[in-house]
Amino acid sequence: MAIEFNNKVESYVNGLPEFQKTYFKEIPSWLSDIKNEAIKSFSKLGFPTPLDEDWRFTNLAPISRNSFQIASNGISEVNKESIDKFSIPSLDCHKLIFVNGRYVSDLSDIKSDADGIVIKSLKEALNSDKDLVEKHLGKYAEYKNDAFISLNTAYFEDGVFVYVPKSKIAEKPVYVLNISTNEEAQSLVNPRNLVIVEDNAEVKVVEHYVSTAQNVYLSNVVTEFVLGENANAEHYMLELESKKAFNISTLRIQQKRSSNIKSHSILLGGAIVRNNVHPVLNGEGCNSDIFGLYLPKDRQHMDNFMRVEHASPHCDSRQFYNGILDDKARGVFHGRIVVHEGAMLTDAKQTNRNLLLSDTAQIDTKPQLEIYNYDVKCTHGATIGQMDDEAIFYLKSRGIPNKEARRIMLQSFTNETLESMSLEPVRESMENLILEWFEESFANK
Amino acid sequence: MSDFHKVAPTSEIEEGEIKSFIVESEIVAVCKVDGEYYAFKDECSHQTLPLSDGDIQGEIVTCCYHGAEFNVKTGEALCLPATDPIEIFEVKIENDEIFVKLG
Repeated sequence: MAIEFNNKVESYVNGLPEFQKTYFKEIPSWLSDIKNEAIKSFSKLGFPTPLDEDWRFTNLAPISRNSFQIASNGISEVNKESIDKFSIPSLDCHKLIFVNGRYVSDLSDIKSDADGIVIKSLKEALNSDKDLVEKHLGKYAEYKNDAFISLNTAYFEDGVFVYVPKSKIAEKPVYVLNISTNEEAQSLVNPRNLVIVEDNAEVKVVEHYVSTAQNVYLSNVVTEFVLGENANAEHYMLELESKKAFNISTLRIQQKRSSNIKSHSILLGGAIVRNNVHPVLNGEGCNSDIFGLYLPKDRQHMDNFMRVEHASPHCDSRQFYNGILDDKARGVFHGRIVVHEGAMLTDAKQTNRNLLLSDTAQIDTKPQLEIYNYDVKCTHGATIGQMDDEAIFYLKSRGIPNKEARRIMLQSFTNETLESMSLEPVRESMENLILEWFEESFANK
Repeated sequence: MSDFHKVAPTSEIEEGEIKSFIVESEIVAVCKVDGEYYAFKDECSHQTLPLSDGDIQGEIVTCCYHGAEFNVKTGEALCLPATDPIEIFEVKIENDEIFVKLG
């Protein structure tokens, strides 16, 4: 029998015992305890409303008042051809396929790696790499204060597990394709990912979310990224969900001394999308670069929520977010830099630029600094504007047609964030999708 | 253009009453004024709070949170703190059922 949830928080609380019985044959007691704690937190917190300051511009009523059920496996809808259609062309990678949040080993392709690097499904790692998982899972993404993290922690079934031992470099990126299928009922999936990169190690992880049909579902993702000393990592979030779907994703990064992370979020799909990025720079000399690009149109709503915590001295962080909004779309940028006591010589910069292509598109941008220290360099800035008519006129005066001139302008705007991607095939694939977005936008004008 | 979506039977909404419905991924308020049905996005343009929690007097809906007022026929904002209009949806009645078209 399907596990169903309605608009009452109790339905989520009551469904957990059945969920654990159905989807975990033998659940370790420590995990069961965490799940029970998490659902208790969710029952206290409930879904956020616009009365919560952090959700002021995003009304979640279409989620909180909706009904969902745990997705079926949906595997019959997916085959090698559909995987090839969704995947990033010419990306040489370890490929992990998840359908409705469940790992499909037959369609995945994990290359053998003799260096002790572990890449597998989290469900499998719960048995095979128990100590590592128990040590890190749920230790950084704070489920006690966040409704969606608590819901994910209680109801996650699977996800990706990556472990890169000391001084090892994962030569190929880890590509995680999450496919939602055409379910009869509105489904809820809770992918949970854990990436552990030890001292002096290096990895690149690409999370890609797609759907086979334009239907309503809730995808609630949590990724915990743990970086050891001098570790280097790059993370990609490619969100191309159904135009009617809800996607809430949280990337929680825990950094040790002199570690570096580069995070890229590209938001293109979904009806209501919330992308939370929360690095904690917890060791001297850390670096955290967060790039984002969001392109809502029609009636899409995209909310970018950043919390960058400088907990140690001599750390640098950069947030660079660009948005292009069309039709009746709505965007939110909420970026907060927190400099803790003692985090001297912090250098933090936050930039958010927005282009509105229609009179009915709307953006709310809210950069914030919270500094409990002195001797720091923190800047923030936000701009909202339209296409520059003078620049378009200049291009036209050089013989470039109007449409081409507009495309050049928009492309240069999106390239400001895309250029930071080191994986060329991912960048090219996103560029092509964005060009299609421009074409559709121009066609409707 | 998107299609009309069935929302509720006409009998579900009394004169002078507002009710809120989920239509696809959107939240829509429907009210009945002088025998006619009107639909609008169930979000105050001031702070995204639900207008269906408020009161309706004639064709004026008042947000119960901060007192903003809107005309349900035109969407026009009539009173601070709201300055932007709310989004109005086209309504049609067929076989005693209310249908709403998302813009």
